[in-house]
Amino acid sequence: MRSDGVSNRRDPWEPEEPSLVEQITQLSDAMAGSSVTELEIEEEGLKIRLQRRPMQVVPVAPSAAPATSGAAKGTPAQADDAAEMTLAVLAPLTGVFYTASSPSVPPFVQVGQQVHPGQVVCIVEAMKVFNEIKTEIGGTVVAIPPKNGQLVKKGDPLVRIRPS
Amino acid sequence: MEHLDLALLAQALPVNGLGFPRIYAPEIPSTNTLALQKVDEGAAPGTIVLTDAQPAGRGRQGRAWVTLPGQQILLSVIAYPSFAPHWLVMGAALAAVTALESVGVPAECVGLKWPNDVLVDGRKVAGILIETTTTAAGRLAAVIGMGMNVNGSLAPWPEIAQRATTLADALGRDFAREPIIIAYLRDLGATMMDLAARPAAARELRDRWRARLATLGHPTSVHQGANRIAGIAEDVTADGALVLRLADGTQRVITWGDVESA
Repeated sequence: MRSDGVSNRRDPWEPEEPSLVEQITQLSDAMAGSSVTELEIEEEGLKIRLQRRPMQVVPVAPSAAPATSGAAKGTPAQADDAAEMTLAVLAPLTGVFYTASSPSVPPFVQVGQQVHPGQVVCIVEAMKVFNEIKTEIGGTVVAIPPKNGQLVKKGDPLVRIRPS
Repeated sequence: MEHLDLALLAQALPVNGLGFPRIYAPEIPSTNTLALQKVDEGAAPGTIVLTDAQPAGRGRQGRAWVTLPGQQILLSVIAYPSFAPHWLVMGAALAAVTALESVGVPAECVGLKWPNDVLVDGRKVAGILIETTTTAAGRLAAVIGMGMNVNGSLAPWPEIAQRATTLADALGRDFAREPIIIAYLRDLGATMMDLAARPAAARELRDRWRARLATLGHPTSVHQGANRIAGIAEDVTADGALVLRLADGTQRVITWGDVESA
C-alpha cells in the first residue's frame, strides 16, 4: 500500500474529509463484515489495496497434538504469493496429513479442481482423531504440498488455492 | 440376521445426553460417514447412528473391519464438544471398558492398547474411530464411532483372530448388545458432561485411562508409515501421547501410528 502524495490532496477550504487512516479503517471494517477478501481503490493517483485474510479455515478446536498442549485454534489462510494471489490452508495442528478419508476412495481435492467455501480439502490426524480440514475460500487448487501420510507441523501449508 | 431391539433402547435412551434421536437401519455402509452427513444437516447433539451390519465400516485410514452382521455393535455418536476432542479418545475407550464390565466381563480381562483399542484377554474386541469437522457456523463437531465384536467368531479369519476376538469367543457365551450400548452411552455421556463442566475432569480422565493401558511397561513397536520405532512403552504424557524409551536410552513421544506389542 502506498501513501505518498496524500498530504497534497486535501484542500483546506473544503469540508474536512476523513483522514486516510480513517478511510482505511472504515474500509477494513466494512470488509471484515463481508465476504470480500480484496479491495482496490484508485483515486487521484492514490491507490489503496486492502486484502483480508479469510477467517478460520480449520476446526475451531481441533484435537490438540500433545506437543501443542491444549486445543489448537484454527489457523488463517496465508497469502503466500501476492503476484499469483494464492492462499494456503494451513495445518491447525501437528499431525498426519491425508488426502482422502480412506485409501480406497478418491482424494478430497486434486490440483486443478474448483473448491467452494466449507469444502473438506484434507484430513489431519493427531492422537487418533481424524480432523476434517475445510477451506473457507473458494477457488482453484493449485498445489497440495504434503504427500499423503506425511507428518505436517502446525502452520504448514496443506492446500494452495487461487481464489476465484 | 439378528436385529437390535429398538424398543429396549428407546426405554433407556437418552442417557446423560446421548441416544436421542436415533438413526437406525439394518444395514448402513458406514455409521461414521452417515453421522458426518447428519452433522452437515444440523443433527442435534447426542444423536446416535446405529446398525446391525456395516459393509463399508472403516478403521484407521480405511483399515478393514470384519463384518459379522447382527453380531457387532456398530455405533456413532454425534457431539459438539467444547473441549479438545482428543479427550474423547480416552473417554470413549474407557466407556467401552465400563460397558464390558457392566455385563460381567471380568475387569482383569479388559485392557486398552494405546490409545483406544479395547482388549479382552489381550486381543482386540472393540475399536474407536473419532472424526471431527466444523459446521457451517464454525462449530466443532465430533463423530465418535465405536465397533465392538460381541457375538459370533473370528475363527474363519485365523490371521485376524490372532490379534482380535469376539466377546463370545473370549468368554464362551453370547451377550445381548443393547445393555452394552446403553452402558457405553451412559458412561461416555457422563464423561462428556464432566469434561464440559470441570477443568480438572480432563486430568482425572487421563489418569483413569492410563491405569487401564495394557501397553505400558511392555516392549512396543510403533509403525509410522514406512518407519518403525521400537522401545519400551514407559508412560503417557499429560495429553495422552505415548512415551517410548528407546534402546539407546532416549525417549520418544508418539502421537500417531500403529502400535504393536514387540
